[in-house]
Amino acid sequence: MELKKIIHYLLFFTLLFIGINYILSKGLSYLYEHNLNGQSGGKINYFMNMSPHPEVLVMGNSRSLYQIIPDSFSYTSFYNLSHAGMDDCYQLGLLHYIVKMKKKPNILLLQIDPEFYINNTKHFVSKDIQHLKYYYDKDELIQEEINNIGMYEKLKNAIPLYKYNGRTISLLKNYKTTKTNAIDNNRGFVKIIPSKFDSLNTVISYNSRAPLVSKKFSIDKAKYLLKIIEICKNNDIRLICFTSPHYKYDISEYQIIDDNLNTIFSKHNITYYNMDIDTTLTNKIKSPIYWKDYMHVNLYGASIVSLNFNKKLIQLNATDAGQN
Amino acid sequence: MLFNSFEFLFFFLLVTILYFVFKPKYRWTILLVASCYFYMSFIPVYILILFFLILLDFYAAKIIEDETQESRKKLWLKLSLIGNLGILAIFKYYNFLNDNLCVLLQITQIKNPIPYLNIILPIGLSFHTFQSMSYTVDVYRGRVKAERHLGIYALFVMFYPQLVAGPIERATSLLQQLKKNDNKLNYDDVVTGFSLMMWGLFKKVVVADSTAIYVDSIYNNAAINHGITNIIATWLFAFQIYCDFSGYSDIAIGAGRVMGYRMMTNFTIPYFSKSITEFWRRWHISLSSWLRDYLYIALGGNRISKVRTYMNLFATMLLGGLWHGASWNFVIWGALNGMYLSVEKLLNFNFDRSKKNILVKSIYIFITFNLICLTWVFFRADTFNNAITILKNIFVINGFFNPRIQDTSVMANIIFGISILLVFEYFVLRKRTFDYLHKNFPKYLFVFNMALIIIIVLWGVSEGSQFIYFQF
Repeated sequence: MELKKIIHYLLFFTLLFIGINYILSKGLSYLYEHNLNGQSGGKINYFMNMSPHPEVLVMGNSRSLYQIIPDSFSYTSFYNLSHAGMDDCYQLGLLHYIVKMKKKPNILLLQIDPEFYINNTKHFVSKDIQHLKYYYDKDELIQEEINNIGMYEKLKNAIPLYKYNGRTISLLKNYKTTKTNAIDNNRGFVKIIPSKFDSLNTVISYNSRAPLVSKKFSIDKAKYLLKIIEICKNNDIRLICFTSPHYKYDISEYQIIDDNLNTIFSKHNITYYNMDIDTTLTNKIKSPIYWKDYMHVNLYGASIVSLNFNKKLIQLNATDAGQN
Repeated sequence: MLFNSFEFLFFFLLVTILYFVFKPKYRWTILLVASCYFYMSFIPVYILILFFLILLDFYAAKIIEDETQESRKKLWLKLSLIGNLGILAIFKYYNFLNDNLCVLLQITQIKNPIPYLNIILPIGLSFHTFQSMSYTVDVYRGRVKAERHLGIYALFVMFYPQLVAGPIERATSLLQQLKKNDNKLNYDDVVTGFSLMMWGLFKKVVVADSTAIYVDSIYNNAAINHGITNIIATWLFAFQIYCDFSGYSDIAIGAGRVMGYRMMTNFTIPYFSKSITEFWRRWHISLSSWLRDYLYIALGGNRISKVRTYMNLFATMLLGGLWHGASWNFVIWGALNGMYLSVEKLLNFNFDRSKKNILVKSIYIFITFNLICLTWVFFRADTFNNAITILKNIFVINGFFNPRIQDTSVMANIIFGISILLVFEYFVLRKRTFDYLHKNFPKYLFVFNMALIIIIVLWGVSEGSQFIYFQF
């Protein structure tokens, strides 16, 4: 009798959960697909809906999101599809999906961070790819990379509502922004408004940064970059990699990383522009007034960085050959 | 094996099914094997330490009960206590004591000859040693009869729901239940246990883990944060640690309840306390009552002079702080709490319950909460210097009201989770238990559980942190 009651309770609970799951996920899917704002998928949708789709695409983390101003470039068709905090695996998954949906750009400007390639774990598995879990059923590479995280990822992603995990409130907020036509039309770029504390924050954050735990290069982490290179080659996308500047940069700390990256780029004929070693640029932005913290320039600094990058791209197009 | 993992879900379902499928006489074996497996999922070899302590305390208690000579009873009690405290001292405090010795020897410019030990703290050590010590002391005091069945006693120490982070159970309660072992499958127990587990999981993965994202970003960058940012981060840490720990306790209590075992309540909405004394009657009740019964009273309690009473209170809380971790930060945390309690006792402070004025109550609650938050700064900060930096930077006037939000979506999730927590705790749990809710409002409880699981799927942090109290 007790067992029967328990089974009834659990069965009813499970069936109701499945039903509510289905209904809610349909509702959230509608919101997701019609959202054109923010990091909870809106930016990706905005890009996908652009017609014609941009020739030049910037991808990377916050060090391209807040630093590459599309309006500063000569290209008429340019979009900044960077997402703050996201690593190479996320960029790989996103690129794979974009290409699959036939929205590939002609030129991809990919921001990479030497710090990412530091070998500080035995075996690295990216967790950032989870932020693309909405596309788990839509893209096989995204599915594969998410499944690599752990043995229960398949189970989690079998629950339709799980796609919206961690982003429900932001999705609602961004959907409202979309509906009220309040989207910032900066072509994906997000401004860091300068504040009077920037200089102080920059110096303090630089002085209190954690020391490097290792200076070795991680081949494990480089696999995502290699896959990005392969996708670009197979789809006739010109890939130009770049590293945004740091407030202060000691090349000797990253020499091994830098050398390994240059080896990869040379081998695959990829243009790599490391802004940290471009003294023409770094001299212009060496004052802390251009910085938000030691890794991000503010809007003043972004203007200088973007204009400088544009000049560099013009030079690269003029010299052609895709050489460094 | 964390409670907020699929491994635990499958493990719990399997163990519970086997528990009720098999005859009662085999249940202790099933639970003991399951508890061994659960413990060994962390660092397998450390189970040998657990077995050693189980054997020591089992035989010590038997001898204490059988012995007629008081001196021999005391001897075996001391052996049991030394064994437990010795293991605790080696694994938990050895390197800390060595560090301090190093500092002292540096003054005399003598090199420290004692080597450091490269060991990881066995999980749950602080909890099960305290549980075991309370057993032998209770046997010595005649409060409980010594257990004669090694397997049942081992299960009392290793019962997997409460093995690694409490509640610290007493032999007078849990051991007697494990001995009886005649629990029948009961619908009310299953639903109440399930509800407790859901609530605990909500607190852990929705509130604690999302709050941790923000708190870590502020506390790990103490130098650049100041003003109201540090205050907000500290308030949020208060919720993080509460939800992390009470969430674990609720899952543990719920898991035991599904099988028909009743474990002690460990938290009763402590942040609504109107005094520090009241807070310590509501926070980590199993530890605070342990400290009262086995340390404070043993030191003389309040049966001696007033000065000695305050000293005993202070010493008890100081040691309570040290129990949490081998670091001066925890000692300071304990000392602050001891000081608060002593001052309240000195002033004979007792919130007059006849004061129904909501504003007055709110003021007392707010003051108590902030006094506790001050102690949390030392609890959370990695080092003493970091704690001082966090506190000092609160008073940086320039940009005081300019909070660093980091990620608005994370902050929105945090506010959402804490709002649900406060509303449910204040308006529902303050005067009712889950038992009461199941008995009187079963449909509402069903709907609430359904809402919780949806919220967990949508808002739960899926790659969340380990439970904070695992490190103790």
